[in-house]
Amino acid sequence: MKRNLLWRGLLILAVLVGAAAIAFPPQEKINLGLDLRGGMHLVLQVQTVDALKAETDSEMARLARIAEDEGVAGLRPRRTGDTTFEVAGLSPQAKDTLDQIADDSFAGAWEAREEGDRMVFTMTDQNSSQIRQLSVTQAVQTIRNRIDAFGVAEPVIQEMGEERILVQLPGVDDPERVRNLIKSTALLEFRIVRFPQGGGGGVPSREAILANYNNRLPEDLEILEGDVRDAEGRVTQKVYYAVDKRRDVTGRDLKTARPGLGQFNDPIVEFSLTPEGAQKFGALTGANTGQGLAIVLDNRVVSAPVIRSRITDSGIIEGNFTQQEVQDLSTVLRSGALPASLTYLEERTVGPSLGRDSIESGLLAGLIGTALVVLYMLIIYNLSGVNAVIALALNLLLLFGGLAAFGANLTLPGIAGIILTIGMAVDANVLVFERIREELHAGRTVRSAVDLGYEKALSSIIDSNVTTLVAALFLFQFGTGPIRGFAVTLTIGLLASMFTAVFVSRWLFDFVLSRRQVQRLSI
Amino acid sequence: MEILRDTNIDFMKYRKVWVLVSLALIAVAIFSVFVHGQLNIGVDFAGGTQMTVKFQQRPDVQRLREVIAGAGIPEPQIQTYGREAENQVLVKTRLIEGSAEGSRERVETALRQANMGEFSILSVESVGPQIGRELRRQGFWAVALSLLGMLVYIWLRFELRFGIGAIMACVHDIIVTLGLFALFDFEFNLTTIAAFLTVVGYSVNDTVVIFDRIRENMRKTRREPLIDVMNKSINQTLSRTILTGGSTLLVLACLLYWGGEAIRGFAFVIFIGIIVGTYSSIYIAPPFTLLWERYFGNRGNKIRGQGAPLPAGGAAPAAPARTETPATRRAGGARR
Repeated sequence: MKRNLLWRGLLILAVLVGAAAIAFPPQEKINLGLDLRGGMHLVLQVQTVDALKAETDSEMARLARIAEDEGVAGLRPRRTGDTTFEVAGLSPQAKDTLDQIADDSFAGAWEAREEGDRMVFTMTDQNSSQIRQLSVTQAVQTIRNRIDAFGVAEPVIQEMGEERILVQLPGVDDPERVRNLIKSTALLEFRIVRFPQGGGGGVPSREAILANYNNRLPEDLEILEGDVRDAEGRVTQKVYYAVDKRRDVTGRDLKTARPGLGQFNDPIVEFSLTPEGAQKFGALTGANTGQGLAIVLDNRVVSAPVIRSRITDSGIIEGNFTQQEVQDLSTVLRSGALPASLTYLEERTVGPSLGRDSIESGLLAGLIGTALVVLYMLIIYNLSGVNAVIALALNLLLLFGGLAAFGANLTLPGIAGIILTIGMAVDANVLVFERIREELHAGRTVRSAVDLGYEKALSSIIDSNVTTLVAALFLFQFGTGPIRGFAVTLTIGLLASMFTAVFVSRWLFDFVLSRRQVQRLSI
Repeated sequence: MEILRDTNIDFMKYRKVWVLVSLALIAVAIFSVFVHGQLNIGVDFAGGTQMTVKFQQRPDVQRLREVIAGAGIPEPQIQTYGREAENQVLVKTRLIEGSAEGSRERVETALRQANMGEFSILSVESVGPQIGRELRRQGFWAVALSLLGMLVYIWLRFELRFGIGAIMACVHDIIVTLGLFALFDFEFNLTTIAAFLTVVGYSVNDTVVIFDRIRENMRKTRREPLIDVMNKSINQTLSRTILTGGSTLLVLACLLYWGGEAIRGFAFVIFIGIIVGTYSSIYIAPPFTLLWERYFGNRGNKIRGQGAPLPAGGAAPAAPARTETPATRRAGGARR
């Protein structure tokens, strides 16, 4: 019996030291959830249909270019759906050429079909699902690039099933800036302005544009809005341009973008293009000198300078920006355009002060609660209450150790869970002690009362704790961040309490009883 | 200090009365949820935006409401939050333009236009319709599956009739606690669901302790009718029930008082839930177990108690008077 006592005692000591080592110092070892640390939690939906449309547009342009090389010029493909486009008015030779091109350059990704004098192209399912998946992965990467430039500690950016992205950024103090940074699709496009001639400052209303075209806007044009800003960068007016729908040169052709200073020392973005992009840009500007070149960002015209001569590989974007805007814009352009736009499904932002307050309140409630429970146990169980208190202390130590070991996040409900555990952990001890009292009453010796107490109470302890654990399990499965924190603390707390009540408490009794013959147990 | 040793209270005697009391409580609960004014559903489930805004000076809530409503935001709910000196308000709006983002921007702009001095937004919770729907679904399944899981566990460890009794107690606890919760206008959100699941866990915990004792006593005295065994068991575990309930309530009272605004609804649910759960472990679970046994017999039960027809050929033991007294018969009948 003595040897057994020693081994068990050493085991308890080992567990104690282990837990202490893992859990101290708590400030470093225990992760705080977002609701306590402060930060942003976002769930974004990737509108993959944008990526599909963009791909269709791009392939349409590619078809037209290849066809031109093959001798079929002037093709005007028209997008008819998210993943379909058609080319109309084809002569038999043109159709043959297109057939050939389709086989050579579009096989596997597109299905081509002849319908009278038209050819209809449809994206294959394989291709579209690939593009959708790719756009989500790219979006994650793009957001990560942007956040990296922003400098957030331990960001979480990951795909979350069903084309969603989860973003968690602890310790963010300018949520607005982060939102803009993430949301900006940064879809950069260079388009030719057809009206007003030469681009410039645009016209003040859509009606003015429609008037120019006798209220029937040609099919290959669209009206885009632009902002006019004053010297401080505030928006003073909205203006409108009629631009080509065709977009040959986009942000994908950018090589770099960086902040710079313009003629008047105003903040601008300097960009340069890839070789292929430079080629396309040269062709675009060369064919349209005298027209306005609309620099379109996220479907808004930033500026529309007139093309004086062919431009190839670099340029600037200016528009009364502030230093910070130019910084963010460069970051965003460099990180690449988002392949698809994002919509917010859920946002939870907690300022750091709220988190601090919560921790303080939680600590206060916890301390007072613990003190009361300790008092309670001592009053009701006299010296055996000390046994229970020691078990409780070890219980809490194990709880913190468990939290640190699993890297679990401590959330506000989690703190409540810890406090709840304090109240409930006592239960296992109560079950045993009440049983011991009963046996003593029935006239048993101290030794056998203790043994019987533990033996008979065991099934109660296990059954009742298992049922609470079942609840905690479902909470974990179906819960989100803060609730999971609660489920975790509750589970670890209960498991720890089972260990301390059954093993540690028992050992303490055995230890005391082995020292001397006890006639009356203070319980 | 010992309490409640060797009590011999006849708990089961007035169980009919207590069940009626419970039914009354459930009626009050249903009334308060559906009539008193709908359950105050948080943005987690209904979608919308909720912001905690701290003003430099005391804001005029009425005027704030007018300004925000004037900005085209439907039915804004504004209430003060936290201690008086902190000048904090909670602004809740339903979904605007069916998107999470639109709501937040509009409210922020409206606040700025309200011109009520400097303010800072301490926290924002914005939930779009899809997520709201999903959370509702998840919350429902979490509770439903929990109950099912416990029923199965108790069925396996004890017997079906005990499982039924425990689940009835749980359902009773949820309804009554929900009712009181609605009466006090606490907000029903994800954290609340967590609290309800905890209540379910505790209630079953409590019930199982009693059932465990019943099972032990049944094994010892095969002749005794179930109702007597139940009474004895409840008496024996009474001190444990009170003591554990007491310590947990003590701790929860601290949470309620000092824990801060954010956790108050949560603490309230568990506090009430424990009281109701303890009550139901004594006055709902055992009676329903008896009821189940009375109507569906002892089919498939491992341990037989009185109340079911014994197999033919076995000498029927002298039925103790208790089982067939008019009182118990009436009690069983009244449950219909």
